[in-house]
Amino acid sequence: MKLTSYLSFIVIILFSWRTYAHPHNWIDLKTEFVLDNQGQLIEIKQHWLFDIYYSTVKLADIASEYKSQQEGLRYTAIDMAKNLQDYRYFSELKTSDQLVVLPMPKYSTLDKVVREGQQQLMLTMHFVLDTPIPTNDDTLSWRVFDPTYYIDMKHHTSSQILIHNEQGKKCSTRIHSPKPSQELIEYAINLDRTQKDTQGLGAHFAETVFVQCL
Amino acid sequence: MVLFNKAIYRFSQWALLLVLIVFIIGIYAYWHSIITQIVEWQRLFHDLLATHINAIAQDPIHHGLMLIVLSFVYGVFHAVGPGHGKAVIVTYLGSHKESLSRGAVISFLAALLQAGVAILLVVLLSQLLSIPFSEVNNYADDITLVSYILVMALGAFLFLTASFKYYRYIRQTVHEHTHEEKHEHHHEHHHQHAHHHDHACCGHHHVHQSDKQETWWQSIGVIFSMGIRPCTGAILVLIYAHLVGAFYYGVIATLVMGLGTGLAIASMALATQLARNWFEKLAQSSDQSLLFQLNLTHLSPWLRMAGGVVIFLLGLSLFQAGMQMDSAGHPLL
Repeated sequence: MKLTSYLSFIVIILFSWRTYAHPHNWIDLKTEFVLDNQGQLIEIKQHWLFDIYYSTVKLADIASEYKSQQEGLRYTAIDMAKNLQDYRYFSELKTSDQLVVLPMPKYSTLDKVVREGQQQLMLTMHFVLDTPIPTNDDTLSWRVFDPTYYIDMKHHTSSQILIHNEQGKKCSTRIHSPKPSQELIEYAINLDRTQKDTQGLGAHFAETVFVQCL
Repeated sequence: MVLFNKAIYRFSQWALLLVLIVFIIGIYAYWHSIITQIVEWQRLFHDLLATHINAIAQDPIHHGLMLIVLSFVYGVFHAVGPGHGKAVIVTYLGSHKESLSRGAVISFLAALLQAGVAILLVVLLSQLLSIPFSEVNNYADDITLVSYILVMALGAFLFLTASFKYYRYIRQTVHEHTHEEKHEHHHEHHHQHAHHHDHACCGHHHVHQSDKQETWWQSIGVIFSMGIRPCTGAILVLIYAHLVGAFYYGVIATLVMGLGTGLAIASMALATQLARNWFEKLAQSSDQSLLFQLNLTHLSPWLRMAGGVVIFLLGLSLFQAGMQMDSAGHPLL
């Protein structure tokens, strides 16, 4: 029965080396798509609801850094959008597999919202697209993710995706959940917290939203 | 009756083997759901902890109790998840013979040290030095790097002491063998004697000769290399508790978390030690016992050296990965 002892030893070793590191923060997403009267996508409004810890810590830092909270929230929102620019706002809009580059947001705000008695921060960014994007073919996709997977970003349900269209077109949205490969999961799990240089990992854990309006 | 017992023993071993195989297959098959579930649980725990700390002033007894229960469960759960500590202790106890109680003491002290460092860090940095809270984690990362250096040092120390002991042992045996013939006679007699009566006797004798209890200094080294790194979850909870004006509840939660983690790591340590002992015993009672016993005696120093090397490499790889952190910032942190 040496086999059993070998096996149990292997199991112990395996489990002891398994560390779960990423993600460390969470953002609940909500996306609003605005269509023009031809049913083409012209604006995207994003709402990022930060988790309680991130929000509380950020609020405390704002309080110590700025004279008033209002001013602090305003400047922090601008800073966040500016910092996110190099990261394409963690957002990926695609049509027919072509990447649509998001312009700088028309505005960005940081607001305090109360959810279940807890204060949370919500970042809103409003993008106005340079060229309208057709929505009638089945190729429009939308992904929002932190490429390092330090932060987990999810819509969770399609109720968090709103489509404003005055034409009354029939729109359908569906969320495709990620199916990362075995190796990638292993990699993410064995990542250390100090490892922030994990570019590309997030894409494999990102949901994809498909929108079609007919 | 003896036969019956033996059959039960055999059966239970086969049953255990079966359970293990099913377990492994199950983990493989449901890996996706397990992982997504763990991410969700982690988040749920964080949210629940925040809720109860926040509401503690309204109903201290109810929320305080909930906080303690949650912290404990979170501590246990967290130990099953992250941390290099487990890798260190499992490798260490697998390659070095410590008593069961010492293994448990190391586990608990390391977990409590981890909680203590987190408390100290938050008190020092944010309460006394008023450093922005969002930067406390960066300091935690620095301490983490120090802890990896400690892991490397521990690995090197274990390797060197094992090599040194082995070198002395070899010199001694060579010396003894060349000393006089009489000794060899005695040696052979002893072996035969053992063979006739009790297999375990001889093996034990041999194993214990080279596997004395490790020194306390070595154990303290293990404790520090495991526990100097603060638990980031605890830091988060402490800062949050401080900000909502319930810092002492945060401290309590952190200590209870430490207990939970200690318990989980201690059971992991125990499992490692039992597996090690079982393995030793099996080796001694198997048919080619005599040959194997001799091998085991000679294997022991090699095992210790290998343990040292593995711990050193673990520290090195973690350190290297940790050093890369500055190359990429995060736009939201």
